[in-house]
Amino acid sequence: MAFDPKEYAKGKEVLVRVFNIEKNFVMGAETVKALRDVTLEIYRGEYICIMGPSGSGKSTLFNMIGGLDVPTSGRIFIDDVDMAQLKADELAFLRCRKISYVFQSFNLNQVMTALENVTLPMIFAGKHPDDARKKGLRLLERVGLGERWEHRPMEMSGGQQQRVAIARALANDPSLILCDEPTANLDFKTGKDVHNLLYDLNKNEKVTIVCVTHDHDMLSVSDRMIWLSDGKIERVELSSEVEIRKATMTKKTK
Amino acid sequence: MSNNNKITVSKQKELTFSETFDFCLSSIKHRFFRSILTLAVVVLAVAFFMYLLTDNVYRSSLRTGVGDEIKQARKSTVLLNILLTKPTQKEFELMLAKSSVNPELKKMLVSVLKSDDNKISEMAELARSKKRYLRFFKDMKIGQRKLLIGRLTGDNIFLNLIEKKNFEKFKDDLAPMGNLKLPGGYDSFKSYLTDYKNYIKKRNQLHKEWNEAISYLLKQSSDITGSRPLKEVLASDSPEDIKKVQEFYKIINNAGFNISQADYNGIIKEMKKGKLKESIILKLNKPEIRSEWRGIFKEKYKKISEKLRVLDNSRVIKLLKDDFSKEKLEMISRESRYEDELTDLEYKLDFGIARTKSGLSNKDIYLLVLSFIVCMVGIANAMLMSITERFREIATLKCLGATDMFILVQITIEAALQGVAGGILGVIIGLIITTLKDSLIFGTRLFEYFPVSGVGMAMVVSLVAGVLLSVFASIYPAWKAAKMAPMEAMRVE
Repeated sequence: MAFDPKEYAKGKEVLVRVFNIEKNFVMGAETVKALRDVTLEIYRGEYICIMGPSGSGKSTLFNMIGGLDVPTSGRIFIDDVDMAQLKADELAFLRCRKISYVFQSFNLNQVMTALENVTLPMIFAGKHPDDARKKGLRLLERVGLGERWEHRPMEMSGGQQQRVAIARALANDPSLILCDEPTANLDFKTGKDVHNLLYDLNKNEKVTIVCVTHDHDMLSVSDRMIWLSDGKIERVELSSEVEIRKATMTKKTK
Repeated sequence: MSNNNKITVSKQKELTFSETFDFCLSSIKHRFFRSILTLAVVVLAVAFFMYLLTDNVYRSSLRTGVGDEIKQARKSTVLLNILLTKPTQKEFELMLAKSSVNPELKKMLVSVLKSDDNKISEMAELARSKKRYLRFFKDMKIGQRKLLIGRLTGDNIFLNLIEKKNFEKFKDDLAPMGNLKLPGGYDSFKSYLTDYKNYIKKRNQLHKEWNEAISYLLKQSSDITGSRPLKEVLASDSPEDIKKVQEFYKIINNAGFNISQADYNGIIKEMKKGKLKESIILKLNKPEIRSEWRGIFKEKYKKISEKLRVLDNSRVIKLLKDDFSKEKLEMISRESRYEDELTDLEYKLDFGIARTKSGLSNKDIYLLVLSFIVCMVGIANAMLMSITERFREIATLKCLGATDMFILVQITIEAALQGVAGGILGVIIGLIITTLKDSLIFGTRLFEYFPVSGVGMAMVVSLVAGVLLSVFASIYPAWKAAKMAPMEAMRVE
């Protein structure tokens, strides 16, 4: 059962549209082509993994989708909004309410409590502090850290910190959550917990998630995988196909 | 939890100042003392600023206080001198000139000379101008003086220049001497010269009248005291003499020397003290006392002024107990020490740097400006360092929706708060250091004339300077942080 894009797209609403983007980095005399002619569509409510070896351009693609960087050529639309047309404060608006990030190294404010960290985006969005607090507590409960709202990042394990970061990403009800190798700094078990949390959020809360990862375990929770290689999309696969292949491979080795 | 509505993008709302301030307060309280370096620079700068200002305030307040004390202490001597000596023409002219700044003296001149206020004021002004012109002639080089006025001195200079021919020559001679500026210019000098003869006439008249008044006083005093000198009578304790002294006071006031009872009592007290001192010195100079003294103090306190200072030593009191009471000895030793102390303070205050009118010397201002520049660079550097450390944090804030303005304001507020904290600490340290140092030099006198308002002013100025310093120094680092790309948050150490 090969992946058929047309078949897959049926009945789905496009959230992110990436059109022929290229990105060149000038390093001294040399020009490095990080992305070459990438075209991609991400649908609402989908869980996507972007995979690929280092240097394949997956982080660059991630930055482009997140509005952190501008492509050399090509266009990116999020909900039909052209990212290249946006001014600095409009980008700030977008980053505050529509796109959230989960980072590899959590990037929590070390001097703030878990709750303060979660309420931060809501303060930037102009929410009343009391409402922000209520919602922050609810979100922490959702990620299973309701008891630890008063703890600072230093007093928490890596997995717990990442869960606080996910709660923070959910603060302003974003359309899209971008995860940059969310489990790379975690051990196997806590990594698994984070996977399950993201999967749960995607399935039950219909949150759209784009995840850049090296971690093959993440494949099992995602809907679709995009394999990048040398700045190009090598192949797109549904996770169900990969599951089947994996299963057959393990059988064979046995 | 997911937002599935279509995206409509608008401008990100800026947080209000108070919201930003609250955010800074909550984040700074944990980080505050980590940036010790920046804080230390602010503290040092403010402490130094405070030191310079407060030192200056202390000195000027001491100068005024001690100056008044010295004036008061010397007043009775000056008064007695005026009453009992006939001034020469020159001395009288000086007195006239002084009266334009000393209202008490002017009042005395008016009433003694039975003249009116305006006339004396006019004469005083003329005397002052004369003093100024004489100084002008005195200050020039010998060759120049020789060319301009020859060997003439005093009145003769002016009398010579009254003639038109001489004045023209003087004017021509002076014109090429570019560095010499006639005070007030040629025209006012010329009009001064036209009035000069008149002035001399009037002055001589006044001088004569004054001397007559003094002669009358002297005659009256010798009538009262007989062959004994007046000073002795004034210092005497016998009831007869006291009566005479009161009589003399009436005579003085009748003659127009309006001396207040307090000043007169001051003179009497001074005379008594003088007499007591004299008799003590006489006693101390006796051979048997001198040898005893050597027995007590060996090689110390050989001079008479030194001896007077240690009169309250218990062994000295024992030595002199037959002639002088303990209280008197203590009083004299205290008085002589006090005088020494005043002279000492005067010396200490005037010693060292010549001060400009504003109170701070050029050297102080130079140091201030230099230290401010150095501190500003230091703070800016320290702030840059601390911001580089927080690169990822700031970039993360931007990823969460913070605008450039927010970052700029946040860092400036943090710097200002740091300026306030460093400023308060610096003010306290500066105040302590200055007070310690100056109390070592001036002793308890410092607290007698403690300038509360001046020190308060210095504190406010230093604090404001500290805050401004930190805010100015933070502008560049804050701008740099605000312009940072949010992509920096992706960096992994």
